[in-house]
Amino acid sequence: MTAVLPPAVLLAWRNLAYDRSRFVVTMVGIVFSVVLVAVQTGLFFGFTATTTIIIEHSGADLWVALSGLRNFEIAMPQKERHRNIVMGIPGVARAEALEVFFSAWRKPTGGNESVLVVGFDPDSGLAGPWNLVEGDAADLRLPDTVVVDVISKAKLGVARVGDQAEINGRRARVVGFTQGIRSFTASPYVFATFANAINYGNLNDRQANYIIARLADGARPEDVKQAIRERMPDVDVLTKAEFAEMTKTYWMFTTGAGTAILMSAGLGIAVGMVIVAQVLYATTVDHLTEFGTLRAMGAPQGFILRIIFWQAAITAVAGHLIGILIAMAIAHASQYGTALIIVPPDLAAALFFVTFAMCATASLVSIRKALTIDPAMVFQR
Amino acid sequence: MTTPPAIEVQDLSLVYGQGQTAVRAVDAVSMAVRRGEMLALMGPSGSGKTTLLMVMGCLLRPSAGRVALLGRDLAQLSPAAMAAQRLAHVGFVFQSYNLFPALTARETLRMTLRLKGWEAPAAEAEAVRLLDLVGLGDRLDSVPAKLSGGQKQRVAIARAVAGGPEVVLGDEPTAALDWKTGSGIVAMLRDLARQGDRAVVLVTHDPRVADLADRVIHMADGRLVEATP
Ligand SMILES: Nc1ncnc2c1ncn2[C@@H]1O[C@H](COP(=O)(O)OP(=O)(O)OP(=O)(O)O)[C@@H](O)[C@H]1O
Ligand SMILES: [Mg+2]
Repeated sequence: MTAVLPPAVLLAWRNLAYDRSRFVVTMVGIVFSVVLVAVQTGLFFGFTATTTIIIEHSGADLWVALSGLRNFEIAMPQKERHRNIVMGIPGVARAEALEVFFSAWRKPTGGNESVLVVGFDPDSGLAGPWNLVEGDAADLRLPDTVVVDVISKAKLGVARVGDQAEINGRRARVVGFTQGIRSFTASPYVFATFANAINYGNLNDRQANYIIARLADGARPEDVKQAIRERMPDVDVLTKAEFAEMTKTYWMFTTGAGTAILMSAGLGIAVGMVIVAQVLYATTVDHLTEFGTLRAMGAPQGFILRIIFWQAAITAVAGHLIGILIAMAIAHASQYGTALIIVPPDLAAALFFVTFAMCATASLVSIRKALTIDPAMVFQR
Repeated sequence: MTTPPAIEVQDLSLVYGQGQTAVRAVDAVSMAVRRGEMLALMGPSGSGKTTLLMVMGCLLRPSAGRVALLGRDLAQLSPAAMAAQRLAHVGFVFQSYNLFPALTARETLRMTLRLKGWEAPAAEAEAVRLLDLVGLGDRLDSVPAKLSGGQKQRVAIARAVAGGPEVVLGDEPTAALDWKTGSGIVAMLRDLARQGDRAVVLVTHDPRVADLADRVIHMADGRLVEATP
């Protein structure tokens, strides 16, 4: 196998493998750094995806809210009759009212939890629960019924269909469980029909947080947006993509949550770089006589640089592979936890370049050293 | 036209450093080494033997005078061109072997040949042939740590002659070995000189090594002091 390797690759590999304990230390350093960066970035992606999960799955093309909207979770009530106005705009196929509000959930076993109630119109097919794994969403049409996610079973103190809790002092019977509808805030989503939600919130049915609309085939979102704005100057109209972006930006950057995560990812890169630089440099210094011998034999400068490059490259590839596998295992396990970590192939690929750049940068110190080698050194003892 | 000597130096001087601290390590030396001959270079410590060897081996540029390798003048070459000359024409043997600790004998030879432009399959066959030649046919896959001093030096000799350089230079190649082993190494180098039609120059402090050489040159204070024909 080694017979076909280019000589610089062979020597790089052999030099790395020769000092096993040092190689293990390097690997631990790089793997640690790759896992840290992948998990932090994956957490960032996971959080980002979580913040917009309802928006993405709602089936609505346009969101209308009272102006001043900054995120999905908090919207001020507007008049429910806005729905009729939106409905009358050319290009709108459907418009429905949607209630989204925080409320108190009293567990069957006692104790309160904050929840985010999502009250949707069951006839519209917009913004209802999806991916039901237990129960039947059609039962939501019955009074005092809700659907929650299996992830929040423990938190909400319910275990199976038929379990009963209270929202704002009113009975809430669980008729189904979804899977994978995770809330970014600490408050789990609770799905109810618009009518039931109004009761839970003691709300006025002449008001709604959102009017959501589905467009007719061929209608241009920009035109419809413009038309709605002209009719109602006091509302914000956002396309699905705009609203998703707004909510993501709010949670990830305005609150600083995302920035903190990304900073620890950056820290992971820095730590990895220092470890790799350290070890590659030590390896280079250890092999200085060998490099001098090679230069005396007539090997060109480039050959020595290639050896150092390949040492960095092999370290990067091995460290990346192991690190990503561990990160993917962590991501897989996170499906059942409260914090979602997403490590898509794109992230894995991008991280390869990050790891590679990290190792290449780290090898610069070694390269500087190697460039000072005088082949005459091997004769001067 | 007769074939030029493998190495020829004329009025060669090499000065280390400048001004007050300058050391004239080699001082107006003229000599030649033919292909097929083994020359021993002797002299007290600090007399300039290693320095002269490095100039002949294209590792140092002379301060004055001329040095020619196979008739080609080396004085004006760039460092990269000097490296290319070494790669193509010169093999080195060191007192402390200078093998690559992580490479087996076979890999060392293969890498050396591939550095010299050999293709992988040919390099593999030639590596085995050369190691057989130096009597290490049964230690092909040993790393240096698993070899005795004499065996290590034989790997180094195989490496030095790999690719067929016309010149092989050794700086006290037997100093770390007992005489029985050392004489074997010197005899092997002499055979490689004669059979391979190459010039071999050995720096040594050991008169018994010199006895095995075709010719001996003595140095003192950077100059040649006598030569036995
Ligand atoms: N890099 C250098 N810089 C300055 N002076 C040097 C250098 N290398 C050698 N010298 C000096 O040049 C002179 C000749 O040294 P050289 O190593 O050639 O001698 P040598 O005959 O090989 O000695 P030894 O038998 O001890 O190996 C010595 O005085 C030595 O101190
Ligand atoms: Mg010397």
